[in-house]
Amino acid sequence: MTERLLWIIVACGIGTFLMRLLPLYWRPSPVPSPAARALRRMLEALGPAAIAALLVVSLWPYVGRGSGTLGAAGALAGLAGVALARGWWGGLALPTLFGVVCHGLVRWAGA
Amino acid sequence: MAARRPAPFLRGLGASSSIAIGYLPIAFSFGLTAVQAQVPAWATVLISAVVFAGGSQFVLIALLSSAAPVLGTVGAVWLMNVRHLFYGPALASRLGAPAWRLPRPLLAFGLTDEVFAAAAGRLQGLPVDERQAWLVGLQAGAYAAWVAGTLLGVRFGEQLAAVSPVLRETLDFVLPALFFALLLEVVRQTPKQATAAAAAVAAVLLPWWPAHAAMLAGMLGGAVWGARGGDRVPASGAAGVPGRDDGLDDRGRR
Repeated sequence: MTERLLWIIVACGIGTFLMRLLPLYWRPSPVPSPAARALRRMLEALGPAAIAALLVVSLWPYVGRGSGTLGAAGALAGLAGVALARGWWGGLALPTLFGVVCHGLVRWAGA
Repeated sequence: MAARRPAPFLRGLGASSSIAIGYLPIAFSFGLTAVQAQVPAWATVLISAVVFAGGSQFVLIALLSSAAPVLGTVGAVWLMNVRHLFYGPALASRLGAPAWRLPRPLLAFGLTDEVFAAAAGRLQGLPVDERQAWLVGLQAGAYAAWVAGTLLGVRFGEQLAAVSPVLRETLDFVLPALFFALLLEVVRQTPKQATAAAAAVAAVLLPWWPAHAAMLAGMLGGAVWGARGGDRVPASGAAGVPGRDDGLDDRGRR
C-alpha cells in the first residue's frame, strides 16, 4: 500500500514536472511566418484565458447546480470584496484576503 | 550613500508574498482534506513537495481515497496539468536572451498557474539579466508557502475545522478570490474577447464535463480566439505579450 502510494505520487510529480520543463526548450522561429504570428497571438491570449477558465471552474461550486443562494451570495460578496480592495489598495494579496473575509462574513451571517 | 537594490532573487521572493498569502490557506485546506480522507500525513506533505499543483492535488486525494486504479489516478492528474505545457513557450519568450542561463529544470519546477500569471505580468518590467533569478525567487516563495501551508493543515487542520465549519468554508474561497485578483491584475492589457471566450467556454461545458476538461477547453478556446487576431493587444510589456526585451513596462517604467 505504502509503495503503491509512493509510486503514484512520484509518477504524478515527474509527469507534472516534465510538462513544465520540456516546453521551455521550445523556441519560436526568429523570422515570423503567418503561422508563427498566429502562435504568438495565441500565446499572448493564453495566460489571461487560463486565469479566466480557472476562475470559472473555481466558482462553479458556488454558482452551479444545487449550490444554493447562500453559496452564490457568498461568492458575489467575495468577488465584490476583491474588486473593491483592488481599487483601494491594488496588488494581489490584500484584495484576495479581503474578498475571502467578505465571503466568510456572508457565510457566517447565513449559517 | 545610495541604497543598494536587493538582489533579483530577493526581489522575486518579495514579489511572491502575494501568492504566498493566497497559497497558505489553500494548502492548509489541502492538508486538512487529505487528513480527513485518511491519506497518511507523510504522503500528503510529499504530494505538495513533489507535485506542487494545487487543483490536481485535490483530485489526487479524491482518487486515492476512492481506491481508483493507479493508471486512472496518475492519468487524471497529468490531464489536469496538461495546461502547463503552454506556459513554457510563453514564459521562455519573456525571459529574453540573458548573458547567462540558469538550468531550465530550476526555472520549470515551480511554474504553477499563479506563478505563471504573476511572471507574465511582471517579467518584462525587469532588466533581461535579472529575470531568471527573479523568477526563481518568485517560485521559491510560492513553493515554501505551499509546503508550509500543507504541513500546518496536516498538523492543525482537524482541530480548526472542529472549532468552526464556517471557517473551513471560508478558506475554500481563497482560490476563486486569488484567480479573480489575478484576472483584475492583467485585465487591462489582455485580449478581452479571448479572455471572455475562455470563461464562456468553461462555463458552458462545466455542467456536462469534468472540471479539469472544461477548464482546459476554456483555456484553449480563449487561446484559439486570440490566435484569430481579431482582438489585438496594444503593443506593451503587459501580461501575455512576448518579445519585449527593453526592460520597461507599458508605462515606460523600469
